[in-house]
Amino acid sequence: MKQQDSFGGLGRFAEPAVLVMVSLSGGAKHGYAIANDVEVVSGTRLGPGTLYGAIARLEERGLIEALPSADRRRPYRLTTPGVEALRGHVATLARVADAGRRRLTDA
Amino acid sequence: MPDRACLLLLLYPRRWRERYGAELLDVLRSRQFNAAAGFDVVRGALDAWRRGADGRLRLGWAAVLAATMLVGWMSAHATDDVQAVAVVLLFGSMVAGALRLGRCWLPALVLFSAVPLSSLWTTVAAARAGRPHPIYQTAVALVPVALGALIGVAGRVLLDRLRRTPA
Repeated sequence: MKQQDSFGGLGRFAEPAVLVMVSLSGGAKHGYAIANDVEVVSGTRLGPGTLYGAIARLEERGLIEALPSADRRRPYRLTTPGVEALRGHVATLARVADAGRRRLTDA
Repeated sequence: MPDRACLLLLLYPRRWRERYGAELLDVLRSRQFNAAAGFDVVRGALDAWRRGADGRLRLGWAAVLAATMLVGWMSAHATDDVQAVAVVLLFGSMVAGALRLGRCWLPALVLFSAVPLSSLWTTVAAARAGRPHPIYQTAVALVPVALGALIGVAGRVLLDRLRRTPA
């Protein structure tokens, strides 16, 4: 239930938000690097408006935070609650994927 | 391309631009700009406004709407005695001018929305007695609006100057 609290109410930004967090779980990145990483990992090309809509929501919820930076490319990283939320969400996704795989094999 | 990106950025609320604008622009400029990217940015801007990146903005527009309804209601019910409407317009404009210098045009917007709309409402609701408020009533009502806004703005400017003056 915890991941529903963290990702609930994100509307069309729910999936991009998860993708952004998965990208940040590999280390701090700035917006452009996140977009590239997401494209490589999932094949999803996040538009700039969608990317920053998701980043703004995640930051607002305290799941990610901006790191200080001298230039305009501000890196982001997962916060401790963000790691917990992502861990829970990924576990749920894994259970769903396992169930789907099993049922497809039985079908 | 960069100019188009900058223009699109202007669609976002000011606060949002101040926080994420440079980064968004950076991402926009790092990629090939196409219609899909442009559409995505416009959608993102609509979302930023809708979310109320600035919650006070929504509250402000709600106040404008409430004022429009109040003035409209008073205008629809005013027959020969329009002093009450004039007083509301005068004080409303005064407060708006004093609170926000840059927003002292809002009472005029309220007036020009409320009076014709209430006239239309009156005409539709009571077709037999439907005599729409002539446009000159709106023009005349501009007098208390302008006067109120002027007093409010002047009061605000005076107060700001007094505050800045060292004791």
